[in-house]
Amino acid sequence: MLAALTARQTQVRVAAIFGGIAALFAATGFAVRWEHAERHGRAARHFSRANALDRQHRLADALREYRTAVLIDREREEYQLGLADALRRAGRPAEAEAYLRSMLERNPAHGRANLALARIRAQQVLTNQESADAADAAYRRAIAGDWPPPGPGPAPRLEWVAFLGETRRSSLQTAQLLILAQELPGSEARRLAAAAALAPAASEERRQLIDRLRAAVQP
Amino acid sequence: MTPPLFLSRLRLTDDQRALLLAVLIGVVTGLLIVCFHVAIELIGWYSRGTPVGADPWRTVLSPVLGCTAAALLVMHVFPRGRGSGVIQTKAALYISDGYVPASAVVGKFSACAISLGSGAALGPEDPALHIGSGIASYLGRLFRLSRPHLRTISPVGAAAGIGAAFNTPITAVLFVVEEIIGAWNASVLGATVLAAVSAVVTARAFLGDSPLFRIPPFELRHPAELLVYGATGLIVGALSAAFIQAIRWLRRQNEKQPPWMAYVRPAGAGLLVGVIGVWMPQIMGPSYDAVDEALHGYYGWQWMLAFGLVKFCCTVFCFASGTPGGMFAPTLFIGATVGGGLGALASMYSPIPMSGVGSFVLVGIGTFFAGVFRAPITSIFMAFEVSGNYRILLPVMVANLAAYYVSRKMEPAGFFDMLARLEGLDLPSAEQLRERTPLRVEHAFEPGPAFAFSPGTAAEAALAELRRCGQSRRLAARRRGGWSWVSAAQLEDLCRRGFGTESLDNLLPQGRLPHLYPDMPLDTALRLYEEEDTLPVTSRAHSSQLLGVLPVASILAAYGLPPHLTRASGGPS
Repeated sequence: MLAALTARQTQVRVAAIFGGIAALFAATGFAVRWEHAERHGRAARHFSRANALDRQHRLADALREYRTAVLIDREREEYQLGLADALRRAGRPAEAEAYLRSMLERNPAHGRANLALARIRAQQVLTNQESADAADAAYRRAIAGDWPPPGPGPAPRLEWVAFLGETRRSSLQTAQLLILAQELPGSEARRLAAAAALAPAASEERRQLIDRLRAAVQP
Repeated sequence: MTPPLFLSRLRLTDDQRALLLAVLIGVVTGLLIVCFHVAIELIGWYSRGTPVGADPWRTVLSPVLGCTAAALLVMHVFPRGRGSGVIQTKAALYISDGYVPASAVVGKFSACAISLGSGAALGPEDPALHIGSGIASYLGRLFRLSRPHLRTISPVGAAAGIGAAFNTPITAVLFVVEEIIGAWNASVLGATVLAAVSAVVTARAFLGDSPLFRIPPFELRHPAELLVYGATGLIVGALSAAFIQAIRWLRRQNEKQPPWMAYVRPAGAGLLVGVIGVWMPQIMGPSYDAVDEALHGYYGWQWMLAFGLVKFCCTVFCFASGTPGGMFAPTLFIGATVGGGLGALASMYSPIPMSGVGSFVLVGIGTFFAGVFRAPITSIFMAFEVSGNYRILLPVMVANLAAYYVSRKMEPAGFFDMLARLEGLDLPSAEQLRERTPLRVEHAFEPGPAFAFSPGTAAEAALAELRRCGQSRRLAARRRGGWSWVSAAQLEDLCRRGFGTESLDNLLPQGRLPHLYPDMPLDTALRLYEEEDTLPVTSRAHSSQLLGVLPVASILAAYGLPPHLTRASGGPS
């Protein structure tokens, strides 16, 4: 009788242990959901505040908010891209590149990160007279890279075309304009791209056509 | 003690039950560590706000209140939750038969979540280790493990705790083996690995599998760069010795102060951290984000060196003040920032091409750890596990070993040994256990090739040889391998009975003596003495090659004991 009681007590104890573990699983799940909700909420608040400050041209304040958003939620690429872009505009390309590098280490074909990196490289080319190869390579990776649907549209190639114009590499620019003319959807944009490609290299006429083309394809 | 009914029905051995329990310990510890991590984050967000440092009052007040509240909790509500988790786990292993009270788990969880969340410059890994060790001890008692298994179950839980907190199962196992157990113990190792892996898997299921740090690519650009890594290791090693000495000095100063100061010190440490945190929020709490930023080159060398030195001071004050919290995260931060700062500085003046600052930060992560905790193997594998890049191993080995040796030279006691002594515990030092060289047969045996008769020697010839040499007995080699003693009295008897021309191998009984090898530890050798007081020592390559003999008296002499002890204690004569 006593042995039977002990066995029953043991069974109850084991059931209590496993019940306790199940409860701990549930409590952990609840706590993690709470933490995630708090994390995403706080990060989103800082990011929207950063965007608002950025629109008011308060770049230093915006940078602090972007950085906080990234520190709270490291997984959101949008925050890192925002911070990298703000750092580039604040004249801190090395720091901006560090954020982009960590994204590109995870996905080297990341379209938006490559485009942001290309902008940094392009800025360095235009200010320090460095070789444009790294910028060109980043633009190529951005154009051929992974983008969230519906894709990047003509914007990265158009940006590269403008950069090629600024660095006076007309033949490469003409080639890219011809590709752009084939890729562009509307007849007006396509006509402008073709006209720009046919315009004399590095001429004022070509520059104006490219400006009109950029305005035409702006979403 | 009877195991639970369902386990009895499964007819599991004690070892199998311990392994099964290791998985359960890992899962429960993993869940608790996830909750611990969440609690630290939430307390941090609600107490210090975001971004940290934006509101100076909150930044200052949060650690003051947090450190005081946490210290009060462990002083008055959960006194068993005080002290280092590593020391408590070692005490459970060596003193209290694996007993870690459940109240220690509750106390450690609540006090450390408050102190770390509020910004104390300490880390969550050591508390996680203590939580794991307490869970293991509790479940071991609940599942009625046998006493030997119960003793060794707390390190198993410790590995689970540290693995889940740091997201590194290999480092967790190595740390427990290197720092707590002090030796490779096959029976504990299996359970330790199982617990660490199941804890990490459980934690990843809730927190995701993203690593603690996003690691930049590493490349050694010039072999001479290793010299810079070595020099970094030397400087960080010296700093780690100073770290141990500073904590010891402050703890001793604290002992001289009146008891009421125990309530003031945590508040003072919190105030220091809070005031500095207004300008340098990176040094507050575990500081993993700042290490991550340093890895990606967000800071210049001046900032990194400043971060490292300020964190050094804040951690020393927080820890010595009695604020609950661990030392892992601060050591990683100090090593990373000082290593990164020195690397960046060297890059500016180096004539050779150097790898990026991030590489120095990554290598630095383990150097301070190696110097403070004296766990060089763990520190090397930690860098490897964190980076997932085996090319980092070479500079990590150079820097960590340099730090380890410099630190040992400047300060003989490692951090945990120093702490155990301060707490009045005489625990075996893992470092000493690792490095203890046992006395071996080669240290005691009497070498000499002329100790044996060949198997074909005739009894008459053997007797004549013994008489000529004035010996009473000699070893005889056996044709099928092995050795036997043959005495003059035995030979005389054989000759008298007409067997004088027969070979010894045919005449001697079949039983063979156990034999020893020169590399055998003396305590292992001692167990082989049953009937004889002297055993042969042979070569491992050729067991028929006699190298000498080892009398029991020589073993005792090697241990510094008088030879008469063999008879007095009734041992082999």
